[in-house]
Amino acid sequence: MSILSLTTQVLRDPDAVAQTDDPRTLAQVAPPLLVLALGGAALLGAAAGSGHGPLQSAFAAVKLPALFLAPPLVVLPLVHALAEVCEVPVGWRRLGLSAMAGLARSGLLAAAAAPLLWLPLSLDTDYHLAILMFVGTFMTVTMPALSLLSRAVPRGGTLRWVAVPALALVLGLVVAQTGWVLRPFVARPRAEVTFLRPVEADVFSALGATSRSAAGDYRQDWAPERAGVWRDRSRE
Amino acid sequence: MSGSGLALGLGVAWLAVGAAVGVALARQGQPRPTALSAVLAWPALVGLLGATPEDTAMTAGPYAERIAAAFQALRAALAETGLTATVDLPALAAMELALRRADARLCAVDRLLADEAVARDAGAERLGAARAHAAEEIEAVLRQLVTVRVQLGLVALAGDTGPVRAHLAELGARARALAEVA
Repeated sequence: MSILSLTTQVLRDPDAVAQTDDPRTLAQVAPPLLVLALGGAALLGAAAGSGHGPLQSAFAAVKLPALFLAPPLVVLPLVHALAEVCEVPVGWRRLGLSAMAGLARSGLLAAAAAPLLWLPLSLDTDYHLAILMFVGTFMTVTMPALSLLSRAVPRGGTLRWVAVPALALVLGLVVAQTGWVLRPFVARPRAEVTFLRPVEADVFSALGATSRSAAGDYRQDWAPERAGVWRDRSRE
Repeated sequence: MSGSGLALGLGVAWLAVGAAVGVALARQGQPRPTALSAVLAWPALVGLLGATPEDTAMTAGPYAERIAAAFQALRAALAETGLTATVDLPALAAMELALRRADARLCAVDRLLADEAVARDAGAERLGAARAHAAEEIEAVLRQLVTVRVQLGLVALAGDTGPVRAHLAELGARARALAEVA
């Protein structure tokens, strides 16, 4: 199957790609699906970093594919275990294929959304607003991956309703904190361009602070609301 | 640990595991792009570690789509009726594999018979008859799988799983016998 026809199928009917346990299908389509996922994410990353120059753009184009790829794959064993516990067992290959097909679909959406994010960022948008726009875009484009992964859990079973929300919750938490570790994607206006920033506080306190800042309240700009999960004790 | 150190450490560990899985897949005979993909996306591809190269390199024959659809429908029916736990899933996967292998052999025979030189040979008629018999057997197993789905509906109402398991065991034996037929 060519990458073009696979792209069409991923956009039109991703379930047709994902809902099989066939090792041959997984071996054949995994490489092109990976290319679609990583390529789309790199484009969105480049757009996100574009407001701070080409170097930041390149850094974000490297890091966003990692943010795209790692969390859904990290939670696969958990999904497998949850499905077993909830009496709806699902095979490893089916899970892997669903994750890859979902990521490819999200990658294609990310590529489509990249110009939409790049345009406001190129117009000197407020930093905090840019962060929220980036987070919103990222959440929107990754929804298909979550949806396809949740559909990999077979129907039936008395506790399926537990397995799917649990998957969404855990995946959301892992994505949020991975993104926090890999930041900055949208760099602060006067900050030095850097590949990674030190881990301080956690993503939730930062999102609270940036939401207030976007609304014009700068009293606690980027001051974490609590110490965070991984506190740097050397600074105390 | 600094953010950079943590992220880079995790990244290196991820790639190291991915490289190990990729090497294992390559040694197993998987295509090079698949093995390379495993370096980055190894959790999605570890399921291939148990698969033989024959499983993944198998040609799709004339019944490939129907076989895939039949087993997908059967698995969906098992899940919907909550009977997945009552069926031997590895045996079901083995049955599917046996059918796909038989289907791939049909494809190879079709290619042979399409060659005019082979078609003119004295043994071609016998080969054609054997091909027709194997195809009939595959058709029969696929028809029986529909019957199993009907039985699953009855089991959902009546609760006796014995006939379904016996039927699937019989079909499994029939699918395995396809290797001898072919």
